[in-house]
Amino acid sequence: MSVKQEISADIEQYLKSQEEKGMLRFITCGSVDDGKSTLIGRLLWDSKMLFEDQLATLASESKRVGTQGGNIDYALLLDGLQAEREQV
Amino acid sequence: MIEKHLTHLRQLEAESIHIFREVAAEFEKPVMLYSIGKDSSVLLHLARKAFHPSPIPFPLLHVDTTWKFREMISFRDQIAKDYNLDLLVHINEEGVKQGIGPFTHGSALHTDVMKTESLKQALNHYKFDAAFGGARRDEEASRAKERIFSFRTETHRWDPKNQRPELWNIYNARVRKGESIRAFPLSNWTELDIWQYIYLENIPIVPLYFAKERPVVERDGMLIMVDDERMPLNEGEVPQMKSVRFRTLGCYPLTGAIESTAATLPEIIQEMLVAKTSERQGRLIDKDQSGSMERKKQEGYF
Repeated sequence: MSVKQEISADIEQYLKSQEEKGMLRFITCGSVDDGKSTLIGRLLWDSKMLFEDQLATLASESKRVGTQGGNIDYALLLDGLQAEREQV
Repeated sequence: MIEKHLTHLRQLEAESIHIFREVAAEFEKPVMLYSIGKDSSVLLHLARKAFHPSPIPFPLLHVDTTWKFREMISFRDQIAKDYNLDLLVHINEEGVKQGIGPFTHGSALHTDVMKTESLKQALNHYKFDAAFGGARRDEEASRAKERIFSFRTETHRWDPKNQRPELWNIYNARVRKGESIRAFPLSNWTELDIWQYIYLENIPIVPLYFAKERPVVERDGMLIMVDDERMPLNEGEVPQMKSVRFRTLGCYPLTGAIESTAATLPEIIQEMLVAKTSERQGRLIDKDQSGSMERKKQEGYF
């Protein structure tokens, strides 16, 4: 049974199981432009943690300011600040 | 070792309580910004826990734009009474005198005058040196890299290029006279964490979060609730009764409702988990253009 089916079938049970969950802490270390944000962005993408409006914004921002030649620039999911995007 | 047995919600709770106590110990005059929304409800619950059985050692401040949902205001007053809170309400009287509102002046100017300016007025008036807010890093890209202790200059400006290092749970509380910090105890919480915690701890929230038949009109693809007679209707526009609820709450003319029948917390969480859009989608003020939240923050918006 997929997670979504599980949620639809029995939300109370799902919530109970979520209450027992532990927390994962995750850090990336590296120099400027090593790909810290890109890695985290890609993990969010692969784990399907993004909403449609966020994906739409990501696609249009990638075209406008991305560094991947029009392809999805995963770093833009995290580097939301204009100030950060100015870094070359 | 104890940490092993703490669930993720209890770890988040412990972290937030630590932040509350740290600010209360280090600053002379803190205040908690209370916006009446679900995040504020969780923030208030955590603040009460942090100092229990003593009362919260700082006042709450609500910056009232005068365009909030009526149910939000009655909820606010009820909570203040039930919990015996020291609640300050600030309204930008200058803006009221000029008749500033979202219908006549647009969302950007309204938010600027009635929210950002108004907040600065209140902070200057009371001379607070630390202000708690309920912002979360998962909300918006410009909040993603915000510090937990976010430094502000004398003019309340936030400089994203000049943020202080923040190593784990070691917070830098040094400020000069006039400078201040904004502290965000909910930084590491997600929208789902908030709902699960409300469910777990049975925290009261504004009834607008639960689905009910409400009068709405459709504007620019958003369902806007007709909350009072100040809402001008276009020709031929008739409010329709629809079963709706709100994912976030702000000024009623700027907050979109979603069609839903979820009337209980588990049903809301269930809907959220299968939702395809983020909560900020229902907020008109975020959509002015990309980077608009950052600009608002630099100017002193929460």
